[in-house]
Amino acid sequence: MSRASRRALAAVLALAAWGAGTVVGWVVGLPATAGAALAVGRAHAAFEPALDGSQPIFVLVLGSDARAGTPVDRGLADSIHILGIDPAKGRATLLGFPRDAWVPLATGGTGKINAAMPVGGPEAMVRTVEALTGIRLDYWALTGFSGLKRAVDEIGGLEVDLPTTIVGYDTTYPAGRQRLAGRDALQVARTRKSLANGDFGRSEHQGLLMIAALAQFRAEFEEDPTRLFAWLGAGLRHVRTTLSIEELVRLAFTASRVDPARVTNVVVPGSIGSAGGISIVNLSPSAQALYRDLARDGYIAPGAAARLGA
Amino acid sequence: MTPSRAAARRSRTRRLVVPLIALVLAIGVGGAGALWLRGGGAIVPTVVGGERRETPTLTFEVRKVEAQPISRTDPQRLGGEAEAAADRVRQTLEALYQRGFVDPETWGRFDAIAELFDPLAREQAELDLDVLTLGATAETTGFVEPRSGRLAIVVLTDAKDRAIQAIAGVRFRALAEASDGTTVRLASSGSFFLHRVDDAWRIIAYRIDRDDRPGATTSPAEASP
Repeated sequence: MSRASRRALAAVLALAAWGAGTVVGWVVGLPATAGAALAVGRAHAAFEPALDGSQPIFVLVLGSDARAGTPVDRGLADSIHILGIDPAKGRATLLGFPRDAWVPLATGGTGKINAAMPVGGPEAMVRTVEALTGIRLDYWALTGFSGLKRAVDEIGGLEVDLPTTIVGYDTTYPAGRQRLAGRDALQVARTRKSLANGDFGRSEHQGLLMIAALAQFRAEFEEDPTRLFAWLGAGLRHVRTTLSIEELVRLAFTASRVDPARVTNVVVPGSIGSAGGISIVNLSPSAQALYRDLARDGYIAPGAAARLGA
Repeated sequence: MTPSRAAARRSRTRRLVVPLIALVLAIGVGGAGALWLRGGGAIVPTVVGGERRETPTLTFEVRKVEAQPISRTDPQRLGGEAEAAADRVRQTLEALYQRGFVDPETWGRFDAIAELFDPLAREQAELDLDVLTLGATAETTGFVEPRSGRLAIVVLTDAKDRAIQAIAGVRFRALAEASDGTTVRLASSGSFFLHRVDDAWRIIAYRIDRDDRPGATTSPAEASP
C-alpha cells in the first residue's frame, strides 16, 4: 500500500471512529438525562434540641408575696412547686407544697417552708426543698405579684379551663374555659379563703395555671415559632431564674414536646395543725413515697399520686 | 537482527501506532462532544439545552425585623441592633440557599453548608440534607433559577440589649430544570433558629417544609435562559 493510500485509510478510520464515538457518547449520555425526571413531593425536617433526655430535670418554681419596697427574692415564698420533666417520655409533674408546711429550714430551725426565702433567698428555698425531698434541683425560677400579672398580659392573656368556680377577691371566675388577663391570673393563683381545701386548693390552682401556660405555649409555638421569643421575653423580663437563655430555649423546645395531658398536677398531702399558736400544715408521711417516685424519672403517674393521698 | 531489519520494524510500529492514537482520540473527542451537545446534567451541571448558563445569585428580601428584648428597654429603641443582626442572619441564610439550591458547584453537598450550622445541629442537618438543600434532586438537575426569597426575622436581645438569638421565617421559591426540559417548582418554607457566635450567626435549630411540584415541561432548546 502506498504512503498516500495509508494516509487516506487513516483519515477514513479516524472519521469513522469520531462518528462511532459520537454515537456511543450520545447513547451513554441517555440514561443520565432522558430519565432525568426531577423529584417532587412534600418533606419535613426539624431539629429543635431539647435538654438532655437521659435524666429528669427539676426546676423549683417560686412565687413571692413581696410587696412594694421589698425585693422579690426576700418575700415569703407563697407558691412553691417542683417542676419535674421526663424529657425522654415527654411528660412532667408539678408537685406543689402548701406554704404553711412545717419543715426543717436550710436557714436554721424548723418553720413554715415559705419562711426560708426572706432569710436566704431562692437558694435557701432550694436547699430546704432538696433536704426535704431528697431531689436535687437543677434550676430555680422566681416571680412576684406584678411579675406574674405583667408576664401574662405580655403574652396576651392565659387560656384556662377552670374545674370549679373560683370566688376571687373582687371577681368570680365561673368553671369552664376562659381567657384570663394578668390581674385575673394573679387572683386565681392567690385565692385561698374561698376554697374548701384552702392552701392545698390554691397550690393546685397554681399548678393548673402553669399547665394552661404550657398548653398555650405549645399551640402558639406550633403555629408560629417566633412566638418563642415573645414568651421568653415576657418570662425573662418578669421572672428571675438560674436558667441561661440558651438553656431556656432548649427547655422551651423540651416543653413543646410535653403533652399537657401528660402533666400530673399534685400537691403534697398533709393535715392542718398548729405550732406555737400558729396554723401550720403537717406533711403526710406518704409524701416520702411521692418524692421518691418523682426523683426516679421526673414523673408521678396520676394513679400513684391518688394512692398516696395527693 | 541487522540494522536494516530493526529500522523496518520501527517504521512498521510507527505506522500502526499513529492511526491507533488518532482512533482513540477521535472516539474520546466524539463521545465528549456528544455528551456536551446533549447537555448531560449530571456531568456538566450548568449546561442545559446545550447552553452554558451563569449561576444566579440569590438575594433574600427581608420583609420584617422585630426586636424582642429581655430587658425593659422599649423594643422600638432596639431597631438598629435588630437590623444589624437581621442583616447577618440574612447573609447566613442566603449562603445556605445559594450553596444548597442554586450553585451547581455546591448544591446537595453538606460540606458546603456545614459551617453555617452550630456543631450541635450538624449531625441532624446532614441527615436532613434532602430537605435543607436540593439534596438527591441535584443528581438530575441542570439549573436552578431562584424565583423569590423572603425572610421575617425576630431578634432576641439580652439584658445589655445585644442581639443574641434570632428566629427567621423563610419562604423560598425556585424553578429547577433537568437537562431534558423537565422542570420542578421548588418550595422551601419554615423557620430557622440562629444564635450569635462572635460576629457570625449559626443555625442551632430548624423546622423546614419542602413542597416541590412538577412544572411545565420544555424541550432542552426551549429551556429558559
